[in-house]
Amino acid sequence: MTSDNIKSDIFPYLSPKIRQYLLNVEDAYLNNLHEIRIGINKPVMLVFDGKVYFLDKNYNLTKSYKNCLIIEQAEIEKTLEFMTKSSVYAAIDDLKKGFLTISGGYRVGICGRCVFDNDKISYIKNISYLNIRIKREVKGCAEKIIQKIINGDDIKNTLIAGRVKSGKTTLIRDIARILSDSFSKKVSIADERGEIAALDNGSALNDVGILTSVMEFCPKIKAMTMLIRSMSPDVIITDEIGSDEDIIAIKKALLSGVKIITTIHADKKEDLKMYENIFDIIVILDGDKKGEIKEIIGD
Amino acid sequence: MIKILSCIMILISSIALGYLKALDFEKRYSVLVSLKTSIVFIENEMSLIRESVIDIIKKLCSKDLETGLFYKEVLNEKEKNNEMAISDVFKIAADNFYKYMPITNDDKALLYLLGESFGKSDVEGQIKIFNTLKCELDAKIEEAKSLKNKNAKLYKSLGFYMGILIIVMLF
Repeated sequence: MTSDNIKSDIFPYLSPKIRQYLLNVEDAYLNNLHEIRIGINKPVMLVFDGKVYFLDKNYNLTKSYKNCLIIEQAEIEKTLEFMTKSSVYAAIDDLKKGFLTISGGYRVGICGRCVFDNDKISYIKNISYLNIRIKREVKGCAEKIIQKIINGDDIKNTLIAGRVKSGKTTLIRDIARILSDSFSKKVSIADERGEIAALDNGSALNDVGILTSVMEFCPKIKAMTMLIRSMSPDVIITDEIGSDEDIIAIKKALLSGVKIITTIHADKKEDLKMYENIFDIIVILDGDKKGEIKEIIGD
Repeated sequence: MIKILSCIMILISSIALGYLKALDFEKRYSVLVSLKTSIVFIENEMSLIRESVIDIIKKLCSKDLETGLFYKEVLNEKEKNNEMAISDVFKIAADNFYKYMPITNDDKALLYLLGESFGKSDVEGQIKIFNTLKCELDAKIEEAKSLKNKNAKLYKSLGFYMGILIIVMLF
């Protein structure tokens, strides 16, 4: 992700003041940016390779949070208005889950006060903290893993496990591209958060392959059923399973003969025991080295 | 011959003036009815398709509604200044619309209110706000209708009789 991409894709969603602050950051730094974190009465925080830096009043990056540029409530509100395109009602389902996905497939984590209705979050109000995650599209990053997933003409049901920011989404995006373009497989993506393909008016902003069809912003269980019925895919790719409903959806899909490649937040072998009888292989990513394989179970 | 021509001219002008004045009442009524129609449209687009505010406004612009001009104004202002909040854009557009449409200050306040509530909450919240707006609009439409029935006829007749009166006084 280059500084130009960040400036054109993310900056328009920031309030003019925050945008102005960040425009003063050197391009060399923006090229390696992983996260932009902004909170009410907090300094502008930029994360590079897991390390947090603050933006001081001279627009220099510093490790100390003293004498830094502080974000006011109005700036967060304005940023949120831009991110929801003045349409909170359209983004409410995502807001309830604690994030927003802005055009281009960038995920913005949010924090605030949760409002409950019958034990379910109905809204998050007084939003006070935003974490903009810079997505990475690394073409070719799945070249190594694809040999483990493909066995002749057969695709193995694969679970990719890793901790946060270990490169799971980047990896399955590239797997989709390779399976489609190099192996001529009909790939369908159940993209619940709009992060994998990042559709913009129906066109994928991320390269997920020619033969790939994408169902976006639809709960996995529904999307997978619809995709099996309507797209007759060879493989369904989806992101971040975890709930019981997700497991049921995957088991149903497997019964129909469709292969599944998905990811999960976990990096310990013991936590993945229950998935061993569902998936052919479980790939555990190395949390310290992005996209690197630590271990493969069932290889 | 000149006298007859002048009389015809005076009569036509005064009738036209009366009609123009009457037109204001008819226009206000149709603008308010159209505003209500557009709110119902917005409500449907929000709840069924979850279109963004700007996309809904774009659709409204292409509809043959009296308020189409207002929504075009909103879109123009938003394009001119993308940084501006939608409520501020609505205010500017309502002020401009007020200049060339025979709406009252109260009607303008309703347009402000629409802008302030636009896209600020979930669908249920939006529908509640729109229901309140529609109730207020119904009252305004009733008022505009009775004014139209009463005054439009009055001004049309008044135009004709004023023309006759001027002709009688002059000749």
